[in-house]
Amino acid sequence: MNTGLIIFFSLLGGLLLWGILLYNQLVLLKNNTEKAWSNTDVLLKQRNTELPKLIAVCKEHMQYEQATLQAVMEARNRVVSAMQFGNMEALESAEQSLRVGLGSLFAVAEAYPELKASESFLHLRERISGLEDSIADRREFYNDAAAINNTRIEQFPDVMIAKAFSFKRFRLLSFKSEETADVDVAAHFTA
Amino acid sequence: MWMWLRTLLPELSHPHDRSDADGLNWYQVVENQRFAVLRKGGVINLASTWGFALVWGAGCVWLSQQWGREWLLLPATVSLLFALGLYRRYRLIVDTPTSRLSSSAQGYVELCGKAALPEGESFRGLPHLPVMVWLPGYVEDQPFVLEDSHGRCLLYPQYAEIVTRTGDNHLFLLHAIYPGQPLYALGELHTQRHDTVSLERRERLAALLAEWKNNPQQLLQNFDANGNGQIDPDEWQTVRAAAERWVDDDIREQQRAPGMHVMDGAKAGQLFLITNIPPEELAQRYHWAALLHMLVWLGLMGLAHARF
Repeated sequence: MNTGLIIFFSLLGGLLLWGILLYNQLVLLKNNTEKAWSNTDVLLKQRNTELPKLIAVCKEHMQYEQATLQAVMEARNRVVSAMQFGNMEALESAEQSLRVGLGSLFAVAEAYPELKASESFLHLRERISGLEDSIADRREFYNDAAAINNTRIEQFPDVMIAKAFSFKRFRLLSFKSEETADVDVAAHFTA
Repeated sequence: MWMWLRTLLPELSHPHDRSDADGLNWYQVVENQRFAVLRKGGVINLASTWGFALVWGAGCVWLSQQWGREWLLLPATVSLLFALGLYRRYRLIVDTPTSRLSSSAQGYVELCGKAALPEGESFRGLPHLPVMVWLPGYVEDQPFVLEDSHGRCLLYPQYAEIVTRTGDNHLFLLHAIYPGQPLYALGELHTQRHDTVSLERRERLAALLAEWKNNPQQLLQNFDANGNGQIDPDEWQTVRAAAERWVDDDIREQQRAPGMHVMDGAKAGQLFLITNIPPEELAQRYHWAALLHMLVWLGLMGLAHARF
């Protein structure tokens, strides 16, 4: 066979392999980002499961704080709903309300010494605190994965493959500075 | 001077001198490592070294002179495959987010930390040498630990591509990973928890009550408050409440206990990489080597076609 023809096919093959490699990498990035989100999602669900238990324990001791308790539960329900519909914007807003609600709840709980001594309450406080730390970590991990994906699909030559195969950007979970602080449950109960 | 060099580079001395006072045949150790390093590091990693580039270049010259320039298409194609493999590794290192062991995001992640021996193990390696966690040719498949400031992850190196560098201590030519060395791992992370954690509270309660019922003497001794030799409905409520407390405490304990983080492979088509080379340095090495092989691919094709 003519050397020139071999070189032509070699160049063509090289380009094709390169394209396949880039495509596979973009698929991997997309899967990584989705997995990173499910990592966060699973912790949010765990925390949402614990919150009604916390409210139930608080209700036993805080008969005059129904509005505060209700605000937390409403925010929690908004988080659940936003997660169900995959609405990240609504989730960010609901998470913000939930943090504000929890902050208020723990502030008023200071006035109830029996609640602070309750073993169930202590356990739930510790559990929710731990979950909030992990959520913060995983949110950061998700943002890293999403940022990498978003950068790659805008870079040349990846952008050509991304556009041809409709690879999408992922929304970053951006919080304002006052929201980035975890809910420090323990601090609210420190005498 | 020679004695000083021998202390620093015992591996370079004559093989017959090697079974010396330290009880190790250094020549044999290096011989054993040579193939193991290639086997565990892989050919693609070898293709990113300067030594390989020299051999590759010399091989191409020889091939061209002995067999003709058309034959350069063969190494050109292999260089293309090297370029793709190296570029893939570069992108994987650069594009994979880092998981912290405190929250241990599951899935395909990278971990950065320090190497350590598994708990309960104080020595691994060869006698008369420093403690090692991994030594190609000798200790290859035993798991070891990557620890960061928040936790520990057990790495199973059996199916990993392990890239090490030498010169981190006085044993210049020895490929090994030592405890306390910075360690980087890329692979599928999962956290193993105790099997019973997955059981529902109700199932665990039923199992516990069944267990207590199987021991009626003990049950009566603990809960037969009126001493009539049987568990009355009121007493049964007490039994049930005690079992619930027991199960709740147990669940609480298990929730507090951290699971064991494990990295033992990667899904098909993905890379499971462990290295004691800083990831930025390794990524750059792969990046430049990929570019070089790409140029070699194009250059060799041009040479094969040139008429002069």
